[in-house]
Formats: sequence, structure tokens, C-alpha cells
Amino acid sequence: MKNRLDHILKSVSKPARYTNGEHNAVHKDWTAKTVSMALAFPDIYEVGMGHLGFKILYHLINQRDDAVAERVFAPWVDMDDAMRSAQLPLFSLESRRPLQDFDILGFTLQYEMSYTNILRMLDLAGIPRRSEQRGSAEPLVIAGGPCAFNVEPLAPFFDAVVLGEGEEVMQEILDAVRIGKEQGRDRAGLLQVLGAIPGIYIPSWYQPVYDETGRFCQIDRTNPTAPAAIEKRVIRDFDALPSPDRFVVPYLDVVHDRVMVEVMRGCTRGCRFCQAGMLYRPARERSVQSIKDQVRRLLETTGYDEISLTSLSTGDYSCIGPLVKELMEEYDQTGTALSLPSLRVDSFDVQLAKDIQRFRKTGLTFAPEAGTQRLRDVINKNVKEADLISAVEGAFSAGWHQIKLYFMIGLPTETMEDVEGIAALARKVLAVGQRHQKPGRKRPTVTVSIASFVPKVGTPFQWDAQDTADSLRKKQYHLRELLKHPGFQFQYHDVETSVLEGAFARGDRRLADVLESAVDKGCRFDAWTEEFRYDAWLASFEEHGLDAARMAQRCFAQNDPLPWGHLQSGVSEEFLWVEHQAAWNAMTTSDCRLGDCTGCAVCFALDVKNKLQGGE
Amino acid sequence: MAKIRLQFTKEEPVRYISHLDILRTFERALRRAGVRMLYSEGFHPKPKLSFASALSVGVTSSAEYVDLEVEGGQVAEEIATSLDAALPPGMNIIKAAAIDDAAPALMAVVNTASYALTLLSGHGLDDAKIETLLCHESLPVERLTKKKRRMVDIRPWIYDLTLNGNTLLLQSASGSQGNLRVEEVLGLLNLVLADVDIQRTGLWIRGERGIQDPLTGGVTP
Repeated sequence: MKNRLDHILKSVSKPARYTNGEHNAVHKDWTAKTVSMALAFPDIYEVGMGHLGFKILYHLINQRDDAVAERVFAPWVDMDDAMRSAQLPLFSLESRRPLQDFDILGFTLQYEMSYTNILRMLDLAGIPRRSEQRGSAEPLVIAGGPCAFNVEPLAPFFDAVVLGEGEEVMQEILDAVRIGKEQGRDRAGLLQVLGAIPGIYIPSWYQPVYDETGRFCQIDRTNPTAPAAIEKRVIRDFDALPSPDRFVVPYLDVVHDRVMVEVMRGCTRGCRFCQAGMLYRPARERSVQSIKDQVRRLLETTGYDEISLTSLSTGDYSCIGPLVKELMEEYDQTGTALSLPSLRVDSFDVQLAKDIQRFRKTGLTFAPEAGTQRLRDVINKNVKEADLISAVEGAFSAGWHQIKLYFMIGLPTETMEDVEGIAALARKVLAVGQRHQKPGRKRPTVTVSIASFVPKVGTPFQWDAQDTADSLRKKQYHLRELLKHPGFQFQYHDVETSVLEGAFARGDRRLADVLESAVDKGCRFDAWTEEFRYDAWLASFEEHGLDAARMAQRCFAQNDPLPWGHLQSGVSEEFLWVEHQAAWNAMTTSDCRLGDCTGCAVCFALDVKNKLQGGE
Repeated sequence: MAKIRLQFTKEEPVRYISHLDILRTFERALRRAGVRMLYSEGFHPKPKLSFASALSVGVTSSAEYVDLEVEGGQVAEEIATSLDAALPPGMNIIKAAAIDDAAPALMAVVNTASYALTLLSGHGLDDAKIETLLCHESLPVERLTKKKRRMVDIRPWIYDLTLNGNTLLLQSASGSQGNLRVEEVLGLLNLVLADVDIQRTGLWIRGERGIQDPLTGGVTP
């Protein structure tokens, strides 16, 4: 196999994507008793290696004596084609074993445009695509990640799906598989055990029912032990959760190539478009001491020169000031840079930003998300224009000259006036920059990055239609014209991809057939512009009597049954509907960390609560 | 400050990493090893490392060289030992020496490279074919740089070429004064990169003193 592989590796681009031996990679011997898991990220090495969840699970599983985790990524198109010609089955990086040899094959569902790669990887591995076609010789094929909360379009392809945070449930799955191996359980028996574990969804135990017009009516249970709904897993005491002290250090230039430490999980700001904020409640912070310890250990074991403090909103971490100060004290003279993904507009602290970027200054990013106060209130994004202007005043006068602003278009209730508000805001920001520009120094630049809004399940906008492709294009074009001026960079995304995302994000199980057809037509790496083939997708939808745009523009009424209703984050549907109504009336809701409970009910449903380190 | 010159290897399983990957790997290994480096100035300070010549993806080497600029008070042998332990599998430190602060850069003095090209089956090469090639007074080859195509004569850059069983041994010009690309020689022998396993066996300084390795020669200003 090695010779065949070597020959192929000499002819593909970036062969290091398919080799191993990186620092901190775990090479373990397998015994008959070892429970083996292949962690599969459905995109290329450089993208998958940046995923923190993957790193965490890899090291967690490998810490067990009775288990081994190895990595596999989607081979790029040239490698995929070469492997098919050479009939070389998809293999894991560490031991180069075919995926067929593993007990469990676990995919992470991070974004809808990675779905075709999942099926392609199964094909390349020689594993039957559908759960019902697999026998006891094949690995258990499971999935987790944010898209698990609407896994219905992928339901026939997975034996089991994990909802929520993976650290605890992963151990339970490995235990169940180990015991199953010892007792010689068959596949159905193993699924029976897994299905009894909280947070695990067995799609084959459920059958969706549609009416004559194709609308979803209900989901029937085909297994009497199947629960009516599956609630996510959540780590109650996040600070006490042991975290890995090492991560694999890639050779290749990968995304997010630095030490990443989670300062907290969950966010209760309540931005209505944000799926992660709704799904991963409540907010639970790590202590400053445990963050510092983790940073120190990871720097020692990896040799990285940059630290990133990650979370859904690091600026909200209650002890961010002291944490940054202590980290700077410890690392200031060591040539280590500190980065925060983004900072809060409403309390932007110039001194904090200066401290962080003392060693290496990069641009600053803010996310107003909408161009007018009215629309920001609709989406409950608590950013006031005055705060943004004062934040950029501070930034420009302190010497920054590059500001990036994130916005969305296609938000519910949006008018062209709101879209023009984006340009107006960007112009005001640039004007501040120009006022602060000193002769001989770099000119200020404002990058405006526009995403097309996709309504997501589990959020107050899950009932709402996505904006149409024509409308989105018109808005992009209009903004591009308005921002045609030196000093602005304008970034936007292909509208057709957004429509497809819209269809899958709130899609039902009928899309599984569409997905298969698209893969059969050669669709892969849909998130990559050069590989995306909309015509093949349209044909696939048509073959099955469905329409992507119509699915993306579906509007549900309050009492309509939802195809994903049985997959629950603990946040109540009543709360989501109340928030939906508030949105359409441009009324805001506050953050429960700062005041009263807003009634999302997650704390009651899952017996959890917010846990903050600093004062509340 | 001190300047330390190291000889290192790049072997399996890292055959397929690129020069930039090697640079990154060194930067991180140096940190893990606790070597106190000197940093460049400017917006994005980087530890001061300089290599002799980039090694391509797919090529292994038993003798590469790198200069480190480190804070004073550190011993070359200790740096070599801790760095060797910190480097990932396939990369090892073979030798280390402190050299004069003002010694010229590796890139400026290294002008020769030697390779062992293991021929995979069915290559059809023999001594006669090598002889014929070397008999030419000039060997023009088309070279594409980023924007231009130009003809270069690579004959003067081939210092030695012999067939030893299944291995082709090549000694050729390397560096700014003349740089032979292995695939160009292979092309003239009707071979492609996929037909060989390439190992760089040394980098050299050819001068009045004959041929020296960069730890023997080029170490003084």
C-alpha cells in the first residue's frame, strides 16, 4: 500500500495533507480489545485541523488505555480522483488503516456545504451510505456538532447522532462500544444501548410523515423505546472539565494555527439570528487560573507563539480585563502574541485592545450585523451607533488603521433603507479614520463583509423565510455601488450557496435523496467556489420533485409541526416564539447574565445555570 | 548574541513537507526546547533563522543547514540536544557549532548540492546514456519563472553525474550563481519526478580551498 500511496503522493498538490508524524500526534498500537474511532472532518486537512472540538476529542479519546482515535480528512479533488483510480480506500492518517477497520467513524457537522463530502468519504472508504445497508462488519457511523440539531437531511446516513457538547457522552459511547465488543452484540443491539444514552438520537427509530402537498406533519417512532424528543448534552461545570494539555502541531499552514483556549461556553446575549447562542446555553465560564494553566501547558507542549482566547463572545467574559493583564505580564517578554476573535462594541476598551496587540498589531473587527438601529433591535444585537463610533475613535487614534465590519443582509423585516444604513455606517467609520490619519502613515481602510442571512433551527427566526436570491443579489449590488470608494473593501458571498444552505438548514429528511443525487453527479467541496456546481444541485432537487429556493423560503406558522422539533436544545419553543414576535416588533430582550431571567427555560429543562467567574 | 550553525536531516515521514513547513517546524521546536532566539524588527517579529537553500516537497535530505541567531550564553551542543529532542520524527540535528557573528549567510556561500536519486523500476538508464548526456557541451533547457520563459544552459551546472546500480548520483550548482533543478536533469534523461526518490546528500561550498561543507568552510567573515 505504501508504494501505491507514495506514487500518488508525488503527483498531488500538498501531499503533506495525507501524511502523519506531526508533533503530538498519537500513534498507538491496536489490540483486539481496543475501541477504535476515526474522527472524520469533511473538509481538507488545513480546514479540519483548525477545529477545536476535533482536537479536544482526539486527545480525550487517546488518553484512554482501551481506545484509540485517529484522524481522517476529505481528500482534495486531485487526491480523491487518484485514490479512486488506484482503488485505494480512504485511510486514517496515523496508522493508515482503511476506515472500514475502525469500530466507530465519527463525522463532525459544522456547516451544510460539507454534507456532500461526508457521502464522498463514505464512498471512498467503501462503507455503505445508508445506515440500513450496513452490517456488523462495518463501523458505527455517527455524527455530532451544531448541525446535528437539524440532522434530518442526513438522517438515513447516520447510525447515531450526538446532540450538544461531546466530552462526557463520548466516553459513554466508547464504553458502550467496548462492552458491545466484549459481549459480541450485533448492530441492532449496540444501537439499542446507544439510544438509551441521553443526548443520542437514533434516526432509524423515527419516521417522518408528510401530507399530500409534501408538508411535514409529524414524526413517528418505529421503536417503542425511542424517546419522544432528544435533549442535548451540556457540561454543567465547565470549569471543572479537564482539558487536553497538548494539541497536534501541523506542518502545513492551517487555519487558526495557534493555541486555542476556551474561556467559556455558551452565550446569553440573545442575538436572535445566532444559532450557537441559542443552542449552547447557559453561559459557563472558566476561571482565570485554569485558563492561565491551560495556556501555559499548551505553549510548552506545542511551541506556538500565539494564544487565542475563544468563545462565542470573549469580550463578554466577566474577567477579561484581569485575564488579559495577567497573560500579558506572563508572556510579554516571550514573543508570544495574544488574540481575541472579536471585541464588544458597547464597551470597547482601547487599553485592552492595545494590551492585546502589543506584540503584534493586526486589524480590529466589529460586528454590528445590521445597518440601522431598528434592524439591530429586531435581531437583538445590542450595538448602538454611538458606541461603534466611539470604539473606532479609540482604535484609530491609538494607531490602528484597518477596521473590519461584519454585517448580514436578508434579515427579517429588512428594507433597502436598512441595507443603505450599512454603507452609511461604514462611511462614518471611515471618516473617523481619515480624521485621525497622520501624514506619512498608512491610509485607513474599512472592510465591509456581508453574509446572506440563513434562518437557523433553534432560533427565533426558525419560522421565517430566507430572503430570495434576486433580492440578496440586488442588495449586494447596491452596496457594492455605494462602497465604490478608495478606503473600502467590500466582501460578499455567492448567493446560490446561501440558497442551498437555506434549504438544508431547515430541511427535512426528503433532502437526503437530493444530497445523494448531487453526490452521484459529482458534487463535492461545495463550500469552495471553484468546485461548487449549482446546476448539478438544481437538477438533483428537480429529480426528486423539490425546489431549493422554495425550501429556503418556507415560512412556518406558530403551530406548524417542525421537521426538527424532536431535536432539542433545552430552550423552549414558547420562548423562541415570544422572541420571534418581539423581533417583528423591534423590541429588545436583555442578557440574563446582567439582569432578570428571560424565560428561555434551559436552566429548568436541563438543570443547569449560568456560571460566571467575576461579579454578575 | 551568538550565531549557531546546525546540520539537520529531513527524512520519512516528513518527505512531503515544504520549506515553509520546515521553517515553521523549527520555530516551534525552538520554543519547545527553550532556546532563546533573537527576533527580527518590524510589525511581525520572527525568530532569526536562515537556511541555505529551500528543499522541495517530496525530497528528503541527510544534510541540511540552518543558522540561528540566539541570545548569548547558550552552548551550541546543548541547543543541538534539546532541539533534537523537540523536533518531530524525521528531523534530527546531526551537528552544531557556534560560528563567527559576522560569518556570511549560508545562502551566500553554499553553491553546490549533491543528490542521490533512487530510480524506481523500469527506468532504462545505463552508463552509456549518462556518457552521451555529459558529452554535450551545452544542454539548453526552457525555464519558466513567474512571468518569463527563458532558455538556460544547464551543462556547466552539472559537476558530476554517475550511475551506481539503481542510484543516480548528482553533484550540481546550487544558489544565486547558478541553480540546477533536479527535474531538468531528469527531463534530459526522459524521466519525471514520479520515477525517482530524491535524497539531497549534501550542501557544499566550492572554492579555492576545494569543496567544504558549511560547518568547515564559510564560518568566518
